[in-house]
Amino acid sequence: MSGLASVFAREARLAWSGGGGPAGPAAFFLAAITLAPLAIGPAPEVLAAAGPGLMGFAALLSVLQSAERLYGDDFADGTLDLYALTPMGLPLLCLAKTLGQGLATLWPLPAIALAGGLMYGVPVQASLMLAAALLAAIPALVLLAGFAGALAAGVRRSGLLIALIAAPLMVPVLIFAAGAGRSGFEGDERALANLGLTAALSLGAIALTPFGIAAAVRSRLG
Amino acid sequence: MLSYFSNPQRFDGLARRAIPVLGVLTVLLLAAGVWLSFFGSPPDYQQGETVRIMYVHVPAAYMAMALYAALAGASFVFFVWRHALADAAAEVIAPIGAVFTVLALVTGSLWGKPMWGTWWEWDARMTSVLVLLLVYLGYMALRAALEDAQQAARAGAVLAMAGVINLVIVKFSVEWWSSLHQPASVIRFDGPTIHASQLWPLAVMALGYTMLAAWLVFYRLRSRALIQRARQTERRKLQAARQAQSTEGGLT
Amino acid sequence: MTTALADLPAMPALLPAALDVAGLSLSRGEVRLIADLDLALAPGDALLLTGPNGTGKTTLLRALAGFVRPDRGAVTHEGEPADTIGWLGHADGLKPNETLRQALRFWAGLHGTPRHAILPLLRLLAIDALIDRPAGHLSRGQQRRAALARVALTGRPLWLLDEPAGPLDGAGRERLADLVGWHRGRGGIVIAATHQVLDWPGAKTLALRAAA
Repeated sequence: MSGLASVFAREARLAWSGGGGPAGPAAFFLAAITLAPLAIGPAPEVLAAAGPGLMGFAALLSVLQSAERLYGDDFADGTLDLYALTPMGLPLLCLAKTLGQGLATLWPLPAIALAGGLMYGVPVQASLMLAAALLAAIPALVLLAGFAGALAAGVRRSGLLIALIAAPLMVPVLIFAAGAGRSGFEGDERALANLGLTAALSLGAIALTPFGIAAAVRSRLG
Repeated sequence: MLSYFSNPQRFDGLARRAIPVLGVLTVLLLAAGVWLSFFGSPPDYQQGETVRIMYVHVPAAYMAMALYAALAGASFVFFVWRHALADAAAEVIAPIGAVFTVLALVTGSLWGKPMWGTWWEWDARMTSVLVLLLVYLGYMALRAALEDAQQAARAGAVLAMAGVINLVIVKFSVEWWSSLHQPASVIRFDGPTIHASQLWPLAVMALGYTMLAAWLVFYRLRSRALIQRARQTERRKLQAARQAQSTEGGLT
Repeated sequence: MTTALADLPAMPALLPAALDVAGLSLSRGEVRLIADLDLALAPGDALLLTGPNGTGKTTLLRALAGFVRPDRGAVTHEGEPADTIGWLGHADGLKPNETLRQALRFWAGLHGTPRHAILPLLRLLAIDALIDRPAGHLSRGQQRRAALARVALTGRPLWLLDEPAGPLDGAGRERLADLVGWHRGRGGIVIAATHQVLDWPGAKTLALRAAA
């Protein structure tokens, strides 16, 4: 197995065995989309209009909720020191690590968003579009959370700090991913463009954030 | 130039002379700018007297962005060449930039009420500036949270540089986002071309704001250096008291 | 020397090791810890860093690993730090839910070391019976031994060890000495920060004192 794949597999395995895998973010996401209608009110047309955006926002919060673990544990137990000295180089390793842990914990979100969309009365097609957009957004979201998580690794109550750092970074992803669901609902032809832009952001994040994460990790090892 | 001023004494010499000059320039330019804004320029044919808010708002928005550019530039210099002065500048610039950002948001809101009829419009520019404020706050929070000064400096530099790329993408995405829902009747900030009579107060105010920011940056840099020197003196006194048993490490 | 040492499989040959430190100055915060340190280590050398807490042992190790940037001076490795250093920090770098087998296979694979080296190394450190236990179920001393096995599995020539014997008992320290002896015999270099008296034959000592 190549180094990249073995890091990816290990991080996915650790996310399952140590932190309950996808249970945390999935439960958080579910709780958020369950509570939101209770706050907004049961009017179907309001819920259907707010649904896609709400779902995108709740997904972002679920990613942030689990972001503390991305680099915090490795910082505390000395693993980051070891990762910084591997032959594959820190950027690649951070990419494999973040995606491995992120995908292992966040994969249910698109499925929950699909179900949630239907419950909010969002048309099937728009719900599918929203789920696809979330799927496309997860790599970007988790890598940006990883960047913030690496900067704030080991800080007391780092969750708050990570959310503050990551929020502005996630603005474009939120706009395009939620936009895909929303314009799908509005019958807009921009749905596909939004979806494409979301995927482009994820590809851009895969290309760029590993260097940012590596620089962040190094800044915290000194 | 930075390496020249990385010598603390040299920088202190420059700052000591620059601070009063910048202070005087700031007062003169802002006084002239305020006079031009209120009396030296006509009311707008469309907006009437409320156009005068522009003279405090636009320079504030410009300073909010210019100071972020300076913060990112200083961070880059520190990240590559490790000049301590560049890091000090970045640390000092951030809160000043955040204050100008708040000023831009508040004056924008005050201007929005007579123009749009609402205190806040989720248009691309105001939303971008709001995101910029979050970026400033995140930067300051990160630095405050990291106890090791060297780590705070390096991590802050990494975050400030990433913020530049982010702000470019944010600007594009927010424009895309607000174009989805475009109220037709809005008078846009960039809509009517600026008349020459409005250009003068705007330019003088912008220059005054720039001097104010530079004055504040130098002032804070110098007080930061003085605090550091005071701490060092304190530590040296402590160490002198313990001098008896202290020796350098060496191979045995 | 224990008999387990003879069982160690032939691991890939070490890269040539050499470490040169010239005029190194380090500080923590605004406190100067190390001033103008010169060091030269050749294959087979061992160096013990001793001194009270807060004198810069860990900082010096981290500077040698390239984590900490020195104020002045240079650390020269034979090759890149990321190709030559086997690192043991004050934390063990183990995951509580991962068995030793899973962890060591992962690290061996990442460094291109054959898997069949794992068990003999664990035997040398007398923790081979624990190979299928999650690290979280082991005692501190056992975890330290597992972390030492991981350092050996990197196949790197320059070992930097921060308190390697911290939680080890007497028998553990003997096993550590065997492991270090084996590594030096292969042409490796070992630098260890320690509070314990480690009786490694021919090891030099660098005693750090409170900063001036």
